Amino acid sequence: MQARRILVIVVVFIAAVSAVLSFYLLEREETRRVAAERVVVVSFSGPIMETRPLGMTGAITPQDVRRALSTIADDRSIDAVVMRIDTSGGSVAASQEISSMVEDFHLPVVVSMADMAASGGYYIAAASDGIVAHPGTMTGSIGVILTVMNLEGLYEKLGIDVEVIKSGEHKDMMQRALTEEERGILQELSDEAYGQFVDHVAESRDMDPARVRELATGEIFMGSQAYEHGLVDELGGEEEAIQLAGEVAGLNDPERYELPSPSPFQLLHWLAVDARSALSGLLLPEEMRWIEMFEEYIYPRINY
Amino acid sequence: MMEKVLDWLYGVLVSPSEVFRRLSEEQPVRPAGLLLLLLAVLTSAAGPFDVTEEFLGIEIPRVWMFLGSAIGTFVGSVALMGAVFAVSAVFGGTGGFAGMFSAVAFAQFPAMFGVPAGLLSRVPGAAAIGGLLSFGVGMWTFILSVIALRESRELSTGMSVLSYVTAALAFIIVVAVMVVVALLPML
Repeated sequence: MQARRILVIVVVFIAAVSAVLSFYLLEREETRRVAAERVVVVSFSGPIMETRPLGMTGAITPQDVRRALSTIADDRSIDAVVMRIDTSGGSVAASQEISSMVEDFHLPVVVSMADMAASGGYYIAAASDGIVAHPGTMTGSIGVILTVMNLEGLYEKLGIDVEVIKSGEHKDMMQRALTEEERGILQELSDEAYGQFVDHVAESRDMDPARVRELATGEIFMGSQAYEHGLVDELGGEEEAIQLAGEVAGLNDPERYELPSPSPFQLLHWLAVDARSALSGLLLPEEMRWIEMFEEYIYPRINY
Repeated sequence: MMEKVLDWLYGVLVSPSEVFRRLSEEQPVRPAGLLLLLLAVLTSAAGPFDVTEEFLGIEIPRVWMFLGSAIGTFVGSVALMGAVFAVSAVFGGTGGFAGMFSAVAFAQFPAMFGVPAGLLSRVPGAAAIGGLLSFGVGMWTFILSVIALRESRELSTGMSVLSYVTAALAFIIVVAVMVVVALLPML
């Protein structure tokens, strides 16, 4: 009888000691994890746009960047971020939104340019704490392009008779051929966006605005040329970007870190949000989807 | 009383049916509750804290997370027992909650072996063995829980298993509904 009771006491004792050891090991593991000098690399590729059209996979949206940065912010072990970008540019507003997120992020962010990081891609990169590009990367293209689609001929071909009742003289300017005055209006819009781009690069890169204007002809530069012009900080790839991010963050020996998979609850939330927009697109009759598509082009698109 | 508790704990390991019958008759609710609490504390100390350490922007010290986990585990265990009691009543179970609680709480004793098994899984190279042992302990505890329910509520083994499965499913459904309701404003 005594032996049995001693056995039970021994079992409880072993469990208690194991629990204390586990707690201590967990603490030590967490301390080591937080003390590790980690630089996370996140990649974004595709055109920059506000929302991803139904069925499109490659695109850079503010939502994508926000999710990635939010996941990074929750991980105390990460000390710096390398953002690998591969884009030819895109929406002005989306570029500005992403650029703000990069600028305001509490950790150092270094941009590593892939094949191409031009126009809107450069707008985003300029806001970072450092830019690394391959000598063969295509970058620059600092400028604005505004496209207006004149659908008059198409409507005529389809036998669609459009009647316009408008309140202002220029309200229907996107649905017919532009007048000279209207071209001037849109040119002003374009110039305004161009000015914003130049000011942003001048301020973020600490460059003379006049010098930026000289470079901002819309010309594409190779990485090596951009480096000579001061638009890029270093020539190299991801490894160099990690080292630069480590320097900016004051790390001695930065290590590459892969972003962990989102938690099941996070995935469930994202799935619910994405499924809602996908479902609403699928439930639309085909004619409505065509009209939605045309509406994308009726209004001018101003892109970096 | 202490000697009795030790004898019962030993009996759970070697002759569970007889011990659970006695426990459901004698109904030592307080020692059963304390055992459940001790297990909650030990398993929480050994468990990972993967949940975010921030709540509403406030960083929560790990000690508080551990305490929260221990209390949550204890309350969750009691709540699950309540659900199992209700479901087993539908399946024709007899006897009161105190008897069932006492028996089922003591049936969790083998979970003590899960704590060193969990520690072993943190040792490099022994993770697989630790994992296997933890799984074995889990199965053992479940089987004893079924036997405890069977003896305390005078059900068949099959009905006891069904009671646990149904109660667990009901739990999962309730949690899923709560998650969906919580996510609804974000959709």
